[in-house]
Amino acid sequence: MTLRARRHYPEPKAWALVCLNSVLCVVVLWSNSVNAGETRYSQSPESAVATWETETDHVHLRMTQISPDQARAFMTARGLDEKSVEEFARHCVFMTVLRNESKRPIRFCMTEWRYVPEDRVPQVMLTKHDWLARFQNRHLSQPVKLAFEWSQFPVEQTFHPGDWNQGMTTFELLPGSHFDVVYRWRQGKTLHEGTLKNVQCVAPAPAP
Amino acid sequence: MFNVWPQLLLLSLVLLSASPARADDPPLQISLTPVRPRLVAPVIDLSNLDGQNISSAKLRGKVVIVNFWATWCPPCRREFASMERLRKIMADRPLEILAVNEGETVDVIEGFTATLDTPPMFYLLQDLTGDAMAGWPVRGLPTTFVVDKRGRIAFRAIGGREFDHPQMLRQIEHLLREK
Repeated sequence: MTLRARRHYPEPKAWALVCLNSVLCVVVLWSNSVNAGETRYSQSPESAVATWETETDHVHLRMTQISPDQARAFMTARGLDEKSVEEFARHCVFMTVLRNESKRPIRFCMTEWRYVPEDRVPQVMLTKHDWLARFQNRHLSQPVKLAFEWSQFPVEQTFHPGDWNQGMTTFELLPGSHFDVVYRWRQGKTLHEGTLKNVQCVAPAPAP
Repeated sequence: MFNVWPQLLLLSLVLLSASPARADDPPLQISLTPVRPRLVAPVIDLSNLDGQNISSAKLRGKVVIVNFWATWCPPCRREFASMERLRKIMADRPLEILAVNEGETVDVIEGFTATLDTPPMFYLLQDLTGDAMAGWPVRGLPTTFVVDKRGRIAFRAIGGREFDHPQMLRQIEHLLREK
């Protein structure tokens, strides 16, 4: 018997299964990844909450809608007064996650970020410092101030490879508004940027 | 007979990696960033949930993990169980974990720990004013520091970690072997 004759070739059905699985693997891996620079949109089937995600040069930005009711509930549970809660919940709020998956440290400062509403010029981001300045005369207790401050996205931070953070970001926009977010970071002396496109504030609830 | 199981296993792994739960939560990371040069760690001097004073100054000679957290912080909640698993793995080693809660009451903290499968047996400390955290280079929660036996910050981590991952254990083990 020759060597060739002793080899076990898969049956045609098995080959078909192998091919099908390989194609499925490729399709699933492709659909599960965010292509560099592209914005991926997803929506939770349970809550209908929407998420936008992008990656540029291995720095990922993800923003998930927080509804006015969720924002109210969170801030009320932290002990924020009613006036401040309402003022906060009137804004367009997102849970924002930034991750450094690159091989080198990055440094970001939100003052260099911009959001671009439809048909409008780029706007500076609202930061937690802006909020704390608004709340300055409301005599918030230290634990309340602490919880508010640390629940917001950091204004500036250095991320080493693997570091990530999440916090709330707020936008002075009407419910249902669309906008882009231009996020920037420095790696060494080089300024990088990516864009999260066509993000949408939670739309107003339809009339009953 | 041609063996298709490796292919099916691969497909299952790929499908699992694409599950919605994973897409919703950023992955907990598995490494610590070395701090060079190692800076002297500020002393933590806070009460635990029973009102007893705990000072990190008395932990000299041990490796100390200092984790700043809050119950409303999702990655803090996610990484918490892995700190208890780390404590169990290192139970007979000179290692302590200080989980410093920012601004929450005992009831709120215990409300969270009661939801965990295993109650944490490491130190839970209250930083009601944020003054303890202010001395550390923290910009967001969770942030974790690993302090060497000489009281210097050897590693730091920003964002959620899987503290009992073998890669993290290797880094901590390396520190434990230092004099």
